[in-house]
Amino acid sequence: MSLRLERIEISLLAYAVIILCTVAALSSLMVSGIDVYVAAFIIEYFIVILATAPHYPAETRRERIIGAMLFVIFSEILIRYLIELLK
Amino acid sequence: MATYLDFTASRVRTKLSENSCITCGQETRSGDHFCSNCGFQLAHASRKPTRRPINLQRDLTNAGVFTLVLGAIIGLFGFLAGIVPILALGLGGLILGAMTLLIPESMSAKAGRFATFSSLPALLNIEALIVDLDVSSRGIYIPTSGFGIIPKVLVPLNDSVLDTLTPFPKSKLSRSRRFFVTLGTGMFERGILLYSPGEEIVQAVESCLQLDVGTIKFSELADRIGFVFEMLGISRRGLSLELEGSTIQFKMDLMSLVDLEERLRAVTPRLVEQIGSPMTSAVAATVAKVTGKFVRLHDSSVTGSVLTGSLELLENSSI
Repeated sequence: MSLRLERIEISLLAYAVIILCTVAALSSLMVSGIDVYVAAFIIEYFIVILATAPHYPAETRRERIIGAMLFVIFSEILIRYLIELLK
Repeated sequence: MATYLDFTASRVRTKLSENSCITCGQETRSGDHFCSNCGFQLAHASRKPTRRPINLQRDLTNAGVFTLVLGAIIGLFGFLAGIVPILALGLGGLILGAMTLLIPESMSAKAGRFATFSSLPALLNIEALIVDLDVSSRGIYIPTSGFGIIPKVLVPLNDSVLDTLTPFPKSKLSRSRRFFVTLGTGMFERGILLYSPGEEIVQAVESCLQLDVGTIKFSELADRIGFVFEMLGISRRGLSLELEGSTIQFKMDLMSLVDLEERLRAVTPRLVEQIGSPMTSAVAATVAKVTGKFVRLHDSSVTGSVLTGSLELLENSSI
């Protein structure tokens, strides 16, 4: 029996696997900052979406909305680190 | 009376048997998906589903809600217990749930499929025309140039027309608004000039690329067009084109037009064989535009969701 997955299903499965691997890898490295995990998830999100693109135009629009929201969080983490460095 | 009842019962049995269409009673073969007479989708069609089942959207929504709630619970537990990896796992679940809920197949894609099937009556009309005129020649795609100008397809009324044609300007032929066109001096040297069934697809490709496909080099055609086909949700892995002499083999893994391809093969066999289905026609029209040569469909077939076929470049044609 052959299982044929649409691109969106491949994206979701790939992202789920990557999240699990990231948590396993970072926790084994004794990383204690939640922002490191979140930053990793955000970067992985963009990589997975780009790697499995293109989707339908409507889907692309929604990806961009999620991407924009995650990018705001990512930027906030980066800015906070920069401020700490500059202090 | 008994004879009449026996006759009626036998007709009902015939109608309900697995080898006949329940609407018109036409005999069908075991592998048929649609009735060859009326086009009704046969109930016993046992093909594997090639496109997303209707309830998959609901399944994905349920999966998204489940992942979102599970992520929230795990995240909350991780936060309260102060275990960072568990909190991270919960956040990951929240992002995954949001993706599952927001990205899945849009209603516009479903509307697109509906729009595709609404073109079926027009194609049935062309089939009826070909049958009524008893035209057996294959259609020839006339090269054109210019953004949004899509090659028309000329179906000669007689196979011998190609050998006896007098020189005919390509541009005049492609811009002609006539339905019956006279190509030579003899009474049978005529053909019917049709809009390509794949015209809308080629126009969509040109709109996406924002250029006249005729300006693309043949060596780049498969990549450029294949990318747009993927973007439009037409095919999965683009388009493969191989030039061997004057024959071009094409292959693509269809996503959204498989049902239409199968149905057309059942209800409009002559259109598919002589002119091509919308997808085949789109490829032929694009190749005609890119090569600047007359292109004739040689054959095409669908296996599962894979559409393959070959086109013939009429390089020495005098028209």
